[in-house]
Amino acid sequence: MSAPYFDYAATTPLDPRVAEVMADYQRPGEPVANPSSIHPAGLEAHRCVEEADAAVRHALGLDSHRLVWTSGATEADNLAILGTASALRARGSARHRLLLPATEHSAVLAAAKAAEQYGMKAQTLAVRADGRVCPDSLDAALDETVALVSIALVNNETGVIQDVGSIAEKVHAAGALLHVDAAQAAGRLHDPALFSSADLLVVSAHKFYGPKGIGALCYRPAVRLDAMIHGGGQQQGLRSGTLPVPLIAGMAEAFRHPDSPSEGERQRALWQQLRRRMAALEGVVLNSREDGSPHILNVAFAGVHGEALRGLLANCMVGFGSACSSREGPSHVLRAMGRPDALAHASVRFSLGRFTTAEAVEEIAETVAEAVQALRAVSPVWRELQAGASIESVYSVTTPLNLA
Amino acid sequence: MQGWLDDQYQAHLGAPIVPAGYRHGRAGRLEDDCRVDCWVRLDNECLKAVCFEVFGSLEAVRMAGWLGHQLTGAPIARAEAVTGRWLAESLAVSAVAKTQALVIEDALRSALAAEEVKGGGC
Repeated sequence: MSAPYFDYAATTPLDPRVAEVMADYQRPGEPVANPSSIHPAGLEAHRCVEEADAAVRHALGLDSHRLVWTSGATEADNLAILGTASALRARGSARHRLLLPATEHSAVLAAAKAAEQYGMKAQTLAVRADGRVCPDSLDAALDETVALVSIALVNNETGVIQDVGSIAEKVHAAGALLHVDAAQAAGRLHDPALFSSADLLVVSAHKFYGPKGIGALCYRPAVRLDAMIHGGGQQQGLRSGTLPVPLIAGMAEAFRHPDSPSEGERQRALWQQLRRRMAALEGVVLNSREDGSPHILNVAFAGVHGEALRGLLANCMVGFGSACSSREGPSHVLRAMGRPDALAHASVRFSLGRFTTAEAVEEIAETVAEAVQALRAVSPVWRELQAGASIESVYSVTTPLNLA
Repeated sequence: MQGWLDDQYQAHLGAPIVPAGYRHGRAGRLEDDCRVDCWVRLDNECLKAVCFEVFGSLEAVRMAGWLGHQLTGAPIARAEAVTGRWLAESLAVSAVAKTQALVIEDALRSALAAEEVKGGGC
């Protein structure tokens, strides 16, 4: 039996229905024409791309948005931020500030930093201990100089869902654009208002049972974007390069099969099952919210050394921080939420999906419990906690922590 | 996860069940990513029991367990001669663990210099 997979937030398995559709476009020896070609096969490929474009936008409730295909969410985030920044500078706009929560994905943080080349200034917004954007921080930062506010609808490390509706109202009232990274939300959250308030919205196929190497940026027609990749002028010149028809068809098929409400409830039950198992270990800090996305549970184990935990769990398919920046130190997301380094480092992200079973939850819980107990048995920090010291005092935390 | 630590070293990790009669020392800080406590029980000129508690990397845990095994039954003078550098070189640990070896040395020295714990539980 293979080890249980609890890293869906890093990437998901391909849905068999998606694999079947993609196989139709990848038969050995049969060419799939370039959709830019004007012969019948090219026109057929073009039609497939057009259908996929409409299907993805429809799945997101963004029928009136436009869509540009990218290699994934990272490129789409870069196009949203840098493309907007470049276009604003070309028009001589006075809006020159970018706002983004400190918990954003590195694709957004790094792109915002890179936007300085267009005269932009990036400013991070504080988040509360529960990972939600601090409303006061946003209110204080918003004014007529803000060009764009970037926010992840579902945080990739904690599963925390931002109050995008309320944020969008404020952002639009200030005349700024709202860029939403929905890589973890698409297909999982069903409230169309969560997506439709975005002026620019980013999705990725492989985060939701589709193929790796394809994503999209959806944007309102009124948004002005400059191209970041130049070449043959495909996609109205916004993103040159031959379109990968099998990947595009696969992404559209994945988005045609969102998680049903009952599947969401099933995953929520698994989330609760795992949380209960972790809570039984005691001294477990919850880095996720009860009302977060049901596919991500992030917890920190007090009294446990992070590097040692990673060592003992080396064969477990779980996440430690973001898989996209796993070589770095303690998670910048958890640090922004006020977790001290030692606690952030001892955090584990469990992310589950439509192929996860209750038996797999039991198996991973057993493995993690064994590792945590082994390390706590030799930990002077855990002994002190057992003797009655609070986690807050031992870890020098000023904000109260939510225990699992 | 099985086999991550030899049983003979495991016996020298963790706090003693009854700390009375032990000398307890500590070094390092949680904020510095390594904290080590050392418990030694002396009998005349020898170390009758040695154990360590470690909040550190797996290498640090293994080093401490190994050292506890080496020193149990050894003369006090041998324990006093232990240095972090010797420990790190003996086990050929990584560069990061070399720093943690120094913390283990400090915890051992702190324990050797401490008073005996009188009665009571841990």
